[in-house]
Amino acid sequence: MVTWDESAKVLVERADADWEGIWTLTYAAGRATDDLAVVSPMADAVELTYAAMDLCEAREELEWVRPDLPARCPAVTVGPPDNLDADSARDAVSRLITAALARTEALLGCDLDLADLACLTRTTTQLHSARRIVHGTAGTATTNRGRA
Amino acid sequence: MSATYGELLAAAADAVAEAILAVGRRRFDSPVDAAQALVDFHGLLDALAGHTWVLLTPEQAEGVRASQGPHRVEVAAIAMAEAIGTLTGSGRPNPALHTEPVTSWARAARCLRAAGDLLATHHNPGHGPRSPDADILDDADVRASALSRLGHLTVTLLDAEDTLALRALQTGLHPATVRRVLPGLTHIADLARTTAGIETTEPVAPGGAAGPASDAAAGLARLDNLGLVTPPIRTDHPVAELTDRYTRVRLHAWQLLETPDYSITTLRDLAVLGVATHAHTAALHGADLTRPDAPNRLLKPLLDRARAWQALHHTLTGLITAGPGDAVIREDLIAITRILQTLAPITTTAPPGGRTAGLDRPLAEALNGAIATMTDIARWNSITLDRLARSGHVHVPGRALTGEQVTDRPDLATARLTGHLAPAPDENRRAVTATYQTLRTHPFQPNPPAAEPAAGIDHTADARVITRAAQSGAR
Repeated sequence: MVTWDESAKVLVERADADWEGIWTLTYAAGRATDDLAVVSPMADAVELTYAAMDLCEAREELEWVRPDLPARCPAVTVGPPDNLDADSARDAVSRLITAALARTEALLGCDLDLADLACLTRTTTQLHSARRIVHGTAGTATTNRGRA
Repeated sequence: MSATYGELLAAAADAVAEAILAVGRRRFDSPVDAAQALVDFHGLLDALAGHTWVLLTPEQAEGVRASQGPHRVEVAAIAMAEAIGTLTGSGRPNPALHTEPVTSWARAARCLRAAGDLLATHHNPGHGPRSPDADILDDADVRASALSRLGHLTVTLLDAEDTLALRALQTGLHPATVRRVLPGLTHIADLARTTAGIETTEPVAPGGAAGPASDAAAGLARLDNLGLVTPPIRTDHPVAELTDRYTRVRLHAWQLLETPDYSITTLRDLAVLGVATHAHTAALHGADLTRPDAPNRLLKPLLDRARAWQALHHTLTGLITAGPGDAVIREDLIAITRILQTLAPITTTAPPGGRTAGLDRPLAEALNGAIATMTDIARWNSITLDRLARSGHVHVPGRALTGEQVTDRPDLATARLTGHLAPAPDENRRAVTATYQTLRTHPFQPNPPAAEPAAGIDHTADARVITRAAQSGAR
């Protein structure tokens, strides 16, 4: 059976450095975070739910300026949360978020209008926030998500 | 500073007691003081009559008059208010309102009028609901209890009539003037006694009173805790801020029923709030949430509900709608989670004997109220989502559909192949509705509240919606 880590690697390799790629990676990361939250102890589950919320918001930011993204992009997941190792699962999610962030930064170097710029800025903030929760302060319930 | 209805009524009662004490103990300093007291006494009577018409709308009064078996308290209250109206006249504004309140009579009148205004904020000009608590006075028992309390206040006030007349005469006011203002209000006092239920001698039906009486008491407590519809958020104390923000979230969640924002984001945010509220409350009561097994039997219902909200969030994440989320709910969610992380951190290890000894009572009260709030929200969100889905606003990505879901559904099969959006399958909607159903009752209340009418919600319509959902689910 394919592990989350392997699925994440494939996704990262194949996702393009454009809006569609960012959306697909963010969607996969969000679903994976939600799945992980369901099988984690409650202390971690609360934090991971916050992270999933951030990832949903990041995805919606993209959809706000590109409403056709959900209909065009492949909505794929990294697989069911069966027999998960929590640490490697977090690594897989973190890998997806990092890849989405890298593509966002690459996109920021393109010719964009103000609405796109604002969208990518907000998306980056949410992705950073989610990554901090998933990888940085997991289970310590000290999230300060940087969302004013 | 915002007051509740109960606080305003208590302040009015205090002011009346103070005024009666003062008039009984010493003379007025001058005829002007006596004249002012007489004017304010009338102003207070006018406020009492006015408040009766707040508790009992003209339409309800017509219903009472036309009824063949009207509530005795309501009949007496109507008669009392009409008798007072005959005495004080119909000129508006009442002469007592021309000056700033100086006497205790006037202060009591101001508190009563403010209490009436506070209740009025929960309705729109057409008497439609503006808040989930607007229905509180629709309960005849609660209304009778509130009217009865008003009757008590009137009885207390009118007990001072003779003393006030004596003090006014002592200052040299013309007896005819005093007689005109205080002509002997025994008939009003009698009606007020009936309203208050003081001379009640009717035997209580055996075994039939405990339920309604306790329901009325609970309803009266809910009425007393009523504040303004949109109170400002107090940020001077974290527990006060927590309470205010939950109140605002509750209001906005209820408003989604009438004015939906066509957004799954709002429902998802509320699900996150449900997870946080129950998890942090369990942590406050000493649960160790770092272990997967339940800490103890008493806290298990809280953790089960946290998991149910989490499952709900998980399901809602897979749904897509076009509308943006409610910004106010998002703002409150973020503020609430930050406060909870500070006041009730979920990873602090509880002492072996539990945390009850050092429990922060105001915080525990606020969080218990928050759990009741989340119960209400689950009920409303269930209807909101059902309406959204039925109006065709909820979609899922085509590739997220399973083989079973697309069987016998060519439109879903096409969406799965092309990856386009598809209407959310009934199965998804049923899963969400089923989870909401488990969250509609309070975790520490084994049975659903007895026929508690939710404000502004047509329960018949609610039942129809749920029945339809079940029927379509069975198809």
